[in-house]
Amino acid sequence: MPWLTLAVSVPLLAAALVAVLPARMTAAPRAVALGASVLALACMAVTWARFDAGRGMQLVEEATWIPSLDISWRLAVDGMSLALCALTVVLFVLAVIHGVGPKPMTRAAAALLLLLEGATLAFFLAQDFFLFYVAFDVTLVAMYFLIALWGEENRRYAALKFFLYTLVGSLPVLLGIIALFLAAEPNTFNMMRLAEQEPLAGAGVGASFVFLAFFVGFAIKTPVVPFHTWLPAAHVEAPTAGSVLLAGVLLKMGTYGLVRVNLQMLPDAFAEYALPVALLGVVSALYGALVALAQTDLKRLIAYTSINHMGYVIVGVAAAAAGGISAEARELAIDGAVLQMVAHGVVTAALFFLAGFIQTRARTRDLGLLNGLIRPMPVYGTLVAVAFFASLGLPGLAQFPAELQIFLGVFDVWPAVAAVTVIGIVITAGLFLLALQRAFLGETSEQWRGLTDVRGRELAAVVPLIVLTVALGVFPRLVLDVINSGSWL
Amino acid sequence: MAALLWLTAAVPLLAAVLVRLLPRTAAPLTIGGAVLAAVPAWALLAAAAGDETARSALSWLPAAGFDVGLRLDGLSAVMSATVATVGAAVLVYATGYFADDERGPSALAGLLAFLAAMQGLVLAEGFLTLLIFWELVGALSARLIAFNRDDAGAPAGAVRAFLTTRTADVGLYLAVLALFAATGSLAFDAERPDGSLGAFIGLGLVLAAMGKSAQAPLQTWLTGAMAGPTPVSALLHSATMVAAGVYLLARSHELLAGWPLELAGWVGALTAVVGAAVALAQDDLKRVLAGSTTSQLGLMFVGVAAGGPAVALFHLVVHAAGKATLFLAAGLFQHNRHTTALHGLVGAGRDDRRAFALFALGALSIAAVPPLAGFWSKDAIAAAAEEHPAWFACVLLSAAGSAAYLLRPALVLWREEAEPGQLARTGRTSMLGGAGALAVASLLLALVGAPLTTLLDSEPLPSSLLSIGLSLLALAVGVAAVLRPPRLPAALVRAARDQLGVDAALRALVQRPTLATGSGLDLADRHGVDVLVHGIARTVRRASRGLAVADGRVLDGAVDGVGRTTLSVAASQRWVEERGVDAAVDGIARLVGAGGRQSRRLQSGRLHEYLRDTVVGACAIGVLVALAALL
Repeated sequence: MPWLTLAVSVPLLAAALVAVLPARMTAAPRAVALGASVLALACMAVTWARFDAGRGMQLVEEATWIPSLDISWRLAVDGMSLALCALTVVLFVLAVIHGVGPKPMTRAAAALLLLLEGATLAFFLAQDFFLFYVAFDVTLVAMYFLIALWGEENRRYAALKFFLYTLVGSLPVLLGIIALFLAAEPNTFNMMRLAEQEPLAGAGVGASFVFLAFFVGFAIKTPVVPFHTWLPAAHVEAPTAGSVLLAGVLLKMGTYGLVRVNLQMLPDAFAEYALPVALLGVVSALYGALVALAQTDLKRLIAYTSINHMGYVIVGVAAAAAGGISAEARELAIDGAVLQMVAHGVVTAALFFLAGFIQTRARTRDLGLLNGLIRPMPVYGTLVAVAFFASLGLPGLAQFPAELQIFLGVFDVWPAVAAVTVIGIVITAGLFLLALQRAFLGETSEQWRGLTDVRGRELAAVVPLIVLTVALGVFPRLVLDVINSGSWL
Repeated sequence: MAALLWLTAAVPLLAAVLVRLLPRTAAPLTIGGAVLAAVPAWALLAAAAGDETARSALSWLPAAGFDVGLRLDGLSAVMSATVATVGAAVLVYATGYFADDERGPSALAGLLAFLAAMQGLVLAEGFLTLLIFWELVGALSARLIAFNRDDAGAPAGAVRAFLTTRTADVGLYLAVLALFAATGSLAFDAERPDGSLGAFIGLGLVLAAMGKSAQAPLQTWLTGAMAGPTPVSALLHSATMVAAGVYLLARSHELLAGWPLELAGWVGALTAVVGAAVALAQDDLKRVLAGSTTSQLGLMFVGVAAGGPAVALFHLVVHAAGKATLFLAAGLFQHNRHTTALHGLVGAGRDDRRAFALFALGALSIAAVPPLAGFWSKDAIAAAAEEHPAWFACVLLSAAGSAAYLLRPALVLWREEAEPGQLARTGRTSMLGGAGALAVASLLLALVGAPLTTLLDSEPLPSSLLSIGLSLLALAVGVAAVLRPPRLPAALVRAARDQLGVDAALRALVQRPTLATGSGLDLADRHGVDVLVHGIARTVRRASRGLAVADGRVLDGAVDGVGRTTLSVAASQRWVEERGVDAAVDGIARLVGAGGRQSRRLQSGRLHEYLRDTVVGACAIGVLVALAALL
C-alpha cells in the first residue's frame, strides 16, 4: 500500500467530500474531518512501524506527473520527515476534536482544516521540489482563511499580514528552486538527487545567492528576528486551533526547509554563512524571550516564546553547518534541532489550547486582570504549570533533551555562542514563573471565583499533549531513535 | 544492588502518587512510604561501608555517553542515608503538622516527590543525571514554597527562589557543556581539562553550588523561601536541598582544583559571617534559622576548600539533623501560637517544654557546644582553615555569631509571661515523634566523624588545640554578646536585617534592567521593526514601479508577473497608510483566489505559462531586493 500517498490524499479527498456535503447534514463535517484525520494518523502509524531508522530516506512512492519537466509525485520519509509528520497528524486530530469556528463545525472549517493537513503532510513528505513548493503555498492559503474567517476582532489585518509576509518569503524560495533545477545535471526537481549531487557545491557567489534566497524564505516562515512581526499578530488573532496548528506545525516548515534544502543541498554555502545565521538565531532566542517577558496577553507571550525556541533550532542547525564541527557534535545538534521542532510543537500546541480555554471563560487573556485561577480551576492550573515548566526547559519534560543536545552541539563549535544562548533559559523561566504568579497564585478576585474547570472536549484535546510532553521528556529516545540524523545527513 | 538504588528513589515517588490518589489515607501512606524508603538507603550505606560500589544506568540519548542512572559509592551512600533519614523524620512530623489542613495530602505528596528527586540528585551516576534532578528539586521546591495560599509572600518567595537558583544553574549547564566538549564524557571521574576550559568548568560548578546553597550574594532567596510550610523549610531549605551545593563541590572536588576551589572557600568564609549577621538581625524565628543555614553552609564551603570533602560532609550531616530539629521545634511553637515572629513567641518554650527541649538540643549542636556533634564537625573545619588566616577568622566569627543568634531566640522562648498559652492538640504525637527522632540522631552524630572518613577514603579529620581553644573562646564571646548586648550603630543593624542591601542591588542591577529591556524591546517590536519592514516594502515598490516600466518594453511576458507582485506590495503599502482598508483585503483575497484557481489548473497544461510568469516575477523581485539593499 502507498501509505504516504494515502496519508496525504485522505485529508485532501475528505476536504473535497466535505465541500459537496448537503448543508442540512450539520454533524457530518466534523465527523468526516475527525475520520479523515484519524485515518491519516493511522497511515503515519503504519509508516512509523515500517520505517527502518538506520536507512535514511526510504519508502519512496513515485508516479510521473509532468514528464517534460521531470516533475513527479514523489514522496519519501527519513527521520526528520517522519517525526514531523507524526507531530502533524497528532495535532490535526486534536485540532479537529477542539474544533474551529462555530459549533457544530461548518463545512468550510472542516474543508480548510483537511486541506491544510493534506498540504502540510505533502510538504514534509515531498521529495520533488515542485510538489514541495505547491504544498508550501497551499498551506499558506488555507491558514490565511482559517485566520481571516474565524479569528478575533482584528483577524483580517492579521491574516493579511501573515499572508503577505509568507508570500514574500515563498518567492525567493521559488527562485532558489529554479536555480537548483537549472544547476543540476541533468535538470531535475528530484530533491533526493539534488541532495546527493549538491549541484552548487563550492560555486561561489551563485551558491551564496541561492542560499540566501532559501534562507530568507525559511527565516520568514520560522520566523527569525527581524522577519517575525507577522507572528504575534497572527497568533493573537487566530482562532485557538489555528494558533495551535500555526505554532505547532507551520513554523516547523521553515526550519525543516533550512535543514532539508540549505543544509543538505547547499552545505558549502551554509558553512560560509554558518556563524551569521547562528548569530541571528541567538538574537531571535534572546529577543523573543525578552519581549515575551514584557507581554501581558497570554497568547502574545506564547507567540514570542516560540520565537525564542525556534531561535535555538536555528542556532543548532547553523552549528551543524559549520565547517569545524565534529561528526558527533553535528549529530547532537541536528538530533536536538529536530527534536526541538517536535517538542516545541507538542508543548506550544498545549499552551495555545490552554490559552484558548481561559479566553472562552474569562473573555480575557490579560495576565494583569486574571488572578488566583488555581482555586476555581485546579486541573487547569496544573495543566498550565506542566506546560509552562516544559516550555522553560525543565528536565523530565519534552524540551529539555532537545535544548540540551542543541547546546552541546553548538558548544563544540562556538562556546561563546552557546554560553550566550543558554542565558535564554533563565529569561524564559522568569517570564513563565511571573505569569504563573500573576494569574494563578495569590488572591482570587470575585469575578473569577465562579469559573468552571476544564472538562470534556477540552481535556481530550490537551491531555494527550501533556502525556506526550512527559513521555518525550522521560524517554526522548522514543523519537530520537527515529530521527537518527546520522543516517541521513 | 541496582534494585536497591532504584528503590531508594522509587519508593517515595510511588508513595507520592498513592497519597495523591488516596488522600483519605494520606497520613499512614506518607509515614509508611517515607520510613520504607529509608530501608534501601541504609542498606546502601551498609553496602558502601563494606567497600561495595555499583552503577545502574540506562541509555537516555542515542549518542554515547548520555546515560541516566544511579551509582553507589561512599559519598552517594552517606548523602542518600542522610536524605532518607531526615526525610522520614520530617514526613512523620508533617503528617501531624498538616493534620488539620484540607490540602495537607497535596503538601505531603509534594514532599514525597521532592524526596524522590533529591535521592536522584545524590545518587546520580554522572553530571547529566545530576543536572536533571538538580533542576527537578528546584521546581518541586518552588511548588512547595508557594503552598500557603493565604500568604501573599509565598508566591513571590517561590518565584524568587526558582529564578535565583536557575540563574546560578546556568553555571552547571555551561560546566556540563564544556566538560563534554573537552572530554567527550559526563562521568564524575572525567579527567580535568587543562587551562582555561578547566577553570571555566570549575567556575560554573561553583556558581551553581552558590545558588543552590544560598551563598552570598545569592543568599536572599532562602529568606523568602521561609514563606513555605515549616516541614518544607526543615527538609528542603535547611537539611537537604540547600546542602546539594556542598554535595556538588564535594562530588566534583577534583574538577575544581586551583582557583575555583579557592573562590568557593572565599565565598563560604564571607557567607559564614554575613549569614550570622543576618540571622542576628531577624525578628522572625524561621528567618533567624534561614540566616543560620546560609552561614553554616558557608562553613561547609570553607570545609571543602580547606579540608576536602570529608570535612564538609561531616558538618553537612550534623547540620542536617540539628537544623531540621530546630525547624521542627519552631513548627511546634508555630502550631501553638500561630506565628513564628519572635515577639509572638515570648514564653512559648515555657508553655511547651518538650518542644523547647528539642529546640535547645538542636541549638546546642548548631552553636557547637561540646560535646555535641556540631562542636566536632565545626572544629574540623576550623582546624582545616587554620592555614588560611582570613578564612580561619571568618570561621571563628561565625562560630561566635551562631552562639549569639541561637541564644537570642532561646531566651525569648523561655522568658516568663503572665498567662501561659494553650498547646495545640492535633497532630502533636507525630510532630513530637518526628522531631524527637532527629534530636536523638543529632546526639549520636558526634560519633560518625571517624567512620565517615573511612567511608570516603579520606585522611582523618583535622583537629588542633589552637582551633579548639579559639572556638570555645568564640562561643563565650557569642554568649556574652547576647547577655550584655554591645551598642551597635543602627545603620549596621539595619544593613544586616536588609541582607546588606543585596536584594535591593539584585533588583536594581538585574531584575529591573531585564524587565526594562523587555519592555523597551517590546515597544520597539510593536512600532519600530514593523515600520522598518513597511519602509523596505515601500522602497521596493517604488523601485519596482520604475523597473516594471522599463522591463515591460523589453519583455512582454514579464508585465503580468511584475504587475501582480507590485499589486501585492502596493496593497501592503496602502494598508500601512489606511490601516486595514477593506479594499486591500478584497484585492488580496481575489489574488489568492486567482492563485488558488491557477494552482488547481496546474495539471491542465498551463504550467509553462504559470512557471514563466512566476520565474520572471520572482527574478524581478530578487533584482529589486538586491538593488534596494545596495541603495
